Amino acid sequence: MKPTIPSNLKLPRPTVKRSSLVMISLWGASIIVILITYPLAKKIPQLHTELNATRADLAKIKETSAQVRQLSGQLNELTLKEQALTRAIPDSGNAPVIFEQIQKVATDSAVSLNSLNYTGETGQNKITSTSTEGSVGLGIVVSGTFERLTKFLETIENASPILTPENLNLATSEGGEVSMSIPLTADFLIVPPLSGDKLIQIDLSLLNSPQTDAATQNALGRQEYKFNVDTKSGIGKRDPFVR
Amino acid sequence: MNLMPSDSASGSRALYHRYAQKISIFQAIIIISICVGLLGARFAISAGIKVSKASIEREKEIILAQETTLNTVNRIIVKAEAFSKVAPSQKKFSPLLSKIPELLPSGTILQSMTVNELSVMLKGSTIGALEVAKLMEVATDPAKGGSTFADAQLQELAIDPRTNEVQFSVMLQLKNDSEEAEP
Repeated sequence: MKPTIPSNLKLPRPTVKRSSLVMISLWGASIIVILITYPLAKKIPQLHTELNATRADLAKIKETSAQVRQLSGQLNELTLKEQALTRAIPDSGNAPVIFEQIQKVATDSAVSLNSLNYTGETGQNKITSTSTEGSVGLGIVVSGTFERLTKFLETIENASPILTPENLNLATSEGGEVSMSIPLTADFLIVPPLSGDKLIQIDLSLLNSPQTDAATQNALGRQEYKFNVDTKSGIGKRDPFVR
Repeated sequence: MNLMPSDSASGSRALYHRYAQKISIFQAIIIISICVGLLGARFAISAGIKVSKASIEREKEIILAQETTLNTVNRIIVKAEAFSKVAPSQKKFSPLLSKIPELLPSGTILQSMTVNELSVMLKGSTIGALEVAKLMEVATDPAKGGSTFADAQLQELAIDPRTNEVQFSVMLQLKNDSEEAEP
């Protein structure tokens, strides 16, 4: 006998298959989304670190930029400091300027400059930097009274550029004058101009470091000799031994 | 026929499937939301890096525009560093030179003087041997030349029997800095 189904009986809707299909579709979609997301999302910690580093760089460079803008307003003052330091340690090839300076000091100290020799490179360079550097030897012989010679030496030792006497020899001459010979060392330094990214790699804090400040003040305090260059002298003369 | 038990089982299954479906939808939505959030975060970070890098480049250009200032600053820094190395090693003999006349007894005349960083050699003539002894004593006297000279050594002494004039040669050793620093 066949069972009879009452007409008022509500059969459950056939949701089982449909819900399974939805579940499978959703989970499938989720897996696909995870598969797509994973390779992109796994770089997040690395990118986060990179972002922090870039932000730190940006903060630093903004600070540098502000400092540079502030320094640009003080360019005249900076140029004076730079010139004082360049006088103290000149660029190489400035030996003639040093010769002129020694001659001027001798005149001011009322001593006779008997000889002034360039004795070549000394190999006693104390500057150790990546910039072009050099040191040369000079030999001076001056004569005059002891007091004037002392004054001459004192002026040379405290003048710009820095001239280091290696030793001194004093001897009396027949005329009663004292002759003093001084071998000197002069240091030179060329700072090449910065290029490209090196421009922004300067540690600006070094500008206000105690060492830089003391050196600059000391260089500014050194005696400066200015020269009047005579450019009117003619070339070519009949007797080379007559002025 | 009693269909209730089978109806009940079928109803429970249907209920289970309905809840399972809701949970699945909920879970899937959460997973997809997390994934979308992560993707958003990833692209936001990338965009942040790009913006920061662009700002860095802009600031670099602003800095590079101040080339003159930067080159001047660079020269100051490099030359100040060089100055700090050269200046302390600069020997100064003038203070020493001005001290010598204070040490000489009357009647003493120097003929030559050689100064280096270790010693001062004095050659000269005087009126008697006692004057040479005085010179050496004064040179090492703490109140006179003692702060500068550590020792005085007689190198040569010759007396002219006719005039009694004494030719002498004395070496004065300079005190070095480390010696002075010692207690």
